[in-house]
Amino acid sequence: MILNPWVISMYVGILGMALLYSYALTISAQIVRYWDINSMEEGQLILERKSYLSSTIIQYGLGIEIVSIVLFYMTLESMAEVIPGAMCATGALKANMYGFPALFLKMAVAFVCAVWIIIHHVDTKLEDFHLTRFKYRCLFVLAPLLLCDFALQFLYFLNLDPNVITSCCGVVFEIEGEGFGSSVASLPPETMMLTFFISIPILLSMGYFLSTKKSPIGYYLYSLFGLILFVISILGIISFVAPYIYEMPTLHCPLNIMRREYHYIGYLLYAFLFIASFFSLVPGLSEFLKRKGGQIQNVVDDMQRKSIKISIVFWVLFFATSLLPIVLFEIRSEGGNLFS
Amino acid sequence: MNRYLNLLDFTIHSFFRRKGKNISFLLLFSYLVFLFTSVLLLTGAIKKEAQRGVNALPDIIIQKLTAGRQVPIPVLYEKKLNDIFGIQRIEPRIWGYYFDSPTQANYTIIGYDSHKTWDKELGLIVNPGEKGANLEKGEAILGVGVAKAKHLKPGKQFGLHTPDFRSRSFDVVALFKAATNLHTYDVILLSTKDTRAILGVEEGFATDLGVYVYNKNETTTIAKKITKLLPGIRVVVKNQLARTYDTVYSWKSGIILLALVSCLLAFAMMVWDKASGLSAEEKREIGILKATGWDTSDILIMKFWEGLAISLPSFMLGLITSYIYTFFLGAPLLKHLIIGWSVLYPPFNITPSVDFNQLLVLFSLTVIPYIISTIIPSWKAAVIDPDTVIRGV
Amino acid sequence: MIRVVKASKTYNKGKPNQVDAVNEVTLHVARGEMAVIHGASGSGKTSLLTLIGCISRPTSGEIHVAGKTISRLPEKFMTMHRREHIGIIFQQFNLILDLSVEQNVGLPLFPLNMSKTLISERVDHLLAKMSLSKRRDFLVKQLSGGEQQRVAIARALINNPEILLADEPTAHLDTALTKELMETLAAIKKDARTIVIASHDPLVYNHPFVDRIFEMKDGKVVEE
Repeated sequence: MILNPWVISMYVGILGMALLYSYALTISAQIVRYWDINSMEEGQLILERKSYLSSTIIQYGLGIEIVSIVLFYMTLESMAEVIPGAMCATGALKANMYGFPALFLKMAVAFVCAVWIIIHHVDTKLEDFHLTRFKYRCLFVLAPLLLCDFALQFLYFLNLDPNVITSCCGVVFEIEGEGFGSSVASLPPETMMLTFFISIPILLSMGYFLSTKKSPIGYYLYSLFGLILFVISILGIISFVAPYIYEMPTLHCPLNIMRREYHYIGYLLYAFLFIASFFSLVPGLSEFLKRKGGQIQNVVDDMQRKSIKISIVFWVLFFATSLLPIVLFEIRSEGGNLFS
Repeated sequence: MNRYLNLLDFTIHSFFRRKGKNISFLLLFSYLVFLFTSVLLLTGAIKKEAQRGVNALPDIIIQKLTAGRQVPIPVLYEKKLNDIFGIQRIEPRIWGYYFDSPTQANYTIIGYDSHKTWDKELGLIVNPGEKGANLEKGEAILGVGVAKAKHLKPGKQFGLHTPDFRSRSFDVVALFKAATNLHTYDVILLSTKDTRAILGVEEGFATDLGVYVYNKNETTTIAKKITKLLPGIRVVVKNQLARTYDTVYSWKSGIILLALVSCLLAFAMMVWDKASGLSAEEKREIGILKATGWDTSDILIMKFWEGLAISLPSFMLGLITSYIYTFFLGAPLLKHLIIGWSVLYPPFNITPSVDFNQLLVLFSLTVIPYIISTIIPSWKAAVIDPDTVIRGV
Repeated sequence: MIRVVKASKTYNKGKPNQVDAVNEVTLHVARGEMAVIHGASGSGKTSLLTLIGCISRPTSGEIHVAGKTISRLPEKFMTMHRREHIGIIFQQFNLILDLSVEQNVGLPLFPLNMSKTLISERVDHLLAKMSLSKRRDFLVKQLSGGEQQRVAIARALINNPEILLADEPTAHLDTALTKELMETLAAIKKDARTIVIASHDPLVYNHPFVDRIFEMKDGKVVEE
């Protein structure tokens, strides 16, 4: 068990949110059960007002979850000084079996919150509250995730033993090693770069096509492509962006790029990536919601167009940011190749 | 976007309309932020200071034990280790504690070999304009604490006893800089020869051996090899020391923060109470806003701004006062609480340092709980029925 | 413009203190008309106005205002409908006393996506019309009763509504001011706006510009 300011601050935040979430869930249960849009009774009015509360909680919740991911990363960095063998956050994550699952689960929670907020956003534009029941049913998906998030994090910190030696990121993302991290790191950088930069024109042309024409399949494809691009980007960061940032062909750690030594460039990179992916999800998801009928049709068209624009802006920002270290390296080395 | 700006504008106006209430609340909140920040800044600074002390140590220290107690180690052991690949150099170190009966205090005497160690560094930590890097026989450099206790200053003389009860006199040639107090407060630096004489360490022996390695990542492996070659010897790895320091101070600040969290809880309850106990006037106002076309979500946004309008200035104010308290005033009271529960610990200057990580932790320890505890009260205010205001019920 | 069909509003339904504030009211007001709802205090005038004004939802019946059925609309959309089509002058003016005249009048526009300069242009324009320009930066509590009344009217008109509702607008005014107010309302009516006034003041319902009078008693419209 390790007790330090970082760990404490994580608990304070997550405990507060857990309390609020459980309150939001009781409201959701009431809404799923008693919601009746045709009723003119006082009870229905109270439910409408209560639904404001639970949606507000989830929106704050997403914000706090994102802060908590950053905080988790910082906690890991601070742990790295305490855990033998760990020299950075990756090492701290490997210190016991709960580390990586905890991180992935946190990201999943943020993702689900984001999807929920999209549904909620569509719903608030509908005069007949067509999606309300549906969206509060979806909220129950979040409950087990949050519970696991809380549990895993707790287990992780509880089982941190300062006497057990762990491996650092140099081992996890080593080219000749075994396991997931290594296989990603050993992806050939040139091929990854090519895939990465071919995606840009594809995405831009898709976005352009969809801004002139409405196409249901196009919207689905766009969101799907957004998801794929998200994965490609993460792999790309590990395989070649990170080495360029460190200016070391063998260093692939995707977490250290958030350090001060590298001007916090990682934060910028991930922020752009997450915002871009989030807005890429909107067209497909709202296309799916259209099938629920009602007045949704009229509401989402505008949303789809806007979110495509926003996502393209952030994709471009993301690509530009990931290009920056490469360009800087080329200028400094006068056209040298980092990987040869 | 305009909508948010307009609402922000209105919120700020409202903030000043209720100046008295809001400002007293703001001060209370900033006091809380101040407490949290001070603990965190101070531990951060001490950890860094301790880390710096540890950095100056050799990567591995080898000590000889006899009957469980540390005894001088033969310098010849050095030769046995020469075959280990990766060792940069090995240095015999001569140092020890000396009980000074006139002042009833323990001092640390360190032998300084001007040809081997610290050459350039000594100039950095000794007050300038005084004795340079050479320390001749009969000369001494003192820590501030020693100088104070024995009423000495450069140019004066003082005496020490050898184990065979002979007295030797030394010239004070310089004092350590006050900035290094944490490490040099009780130090008397003598030439290696003099140190041997005072501490009774014979030629051919040393207090311990310091091992420096080329690749810091191999330290543990090399330490293991040394243990194999010299069984029965104590091998201390620097990283272990660093880690111990870190754990101790993190743990201490953790305990204090935990105590503060209970304050935070009380504060959150107060926030809740304050936010939900709307005055009749405020209720009427929200009723009017809603009747004239404000939606529940508009009120929620306004309340969000209101939360920021109180918590952000409080946060900034708390940070700034704490920065002054910690780094300019030297954190009186709190320092003793964290460094040790003893007043004897050396006074030292804390080097100012704040980083982004610390700010985020502070933010999530103070502002986020504040925001969380205002969510439900804000909602309660936001769903006030305009109908009741209109009908004057 | 306004069509109410068998609308009822019951407070505290099923409880011992149940009140049938509005009971199966049916009425119709055409575009550009000025209608007065007349009745003793407690007859349900205010409640009826809040129903028409999208401030509260009926317990039963149907209400159509400015081309939309609002009786089953969620609160949020009622608010949005009100913002677009309806201005309301309240009985006690319901101004925020320690805000300036300018801010009070601009209040309904803040949540709209409108720039500050645009809002203040609109406010200035309206204040000039109401001859309040000199009072622009005064706090409302520093104004006289008549001036406060005009501020309340200006606020009701800031969103350029098709329908203006007024609840006992003359309750705190003397005869001269009441006449002045009716002149103002008459001028507003000329802009093809529909006006509904709840009042038991003879100076109001006997005014020549009034097209319709509804007599209310115990929550029912007993006479048109």
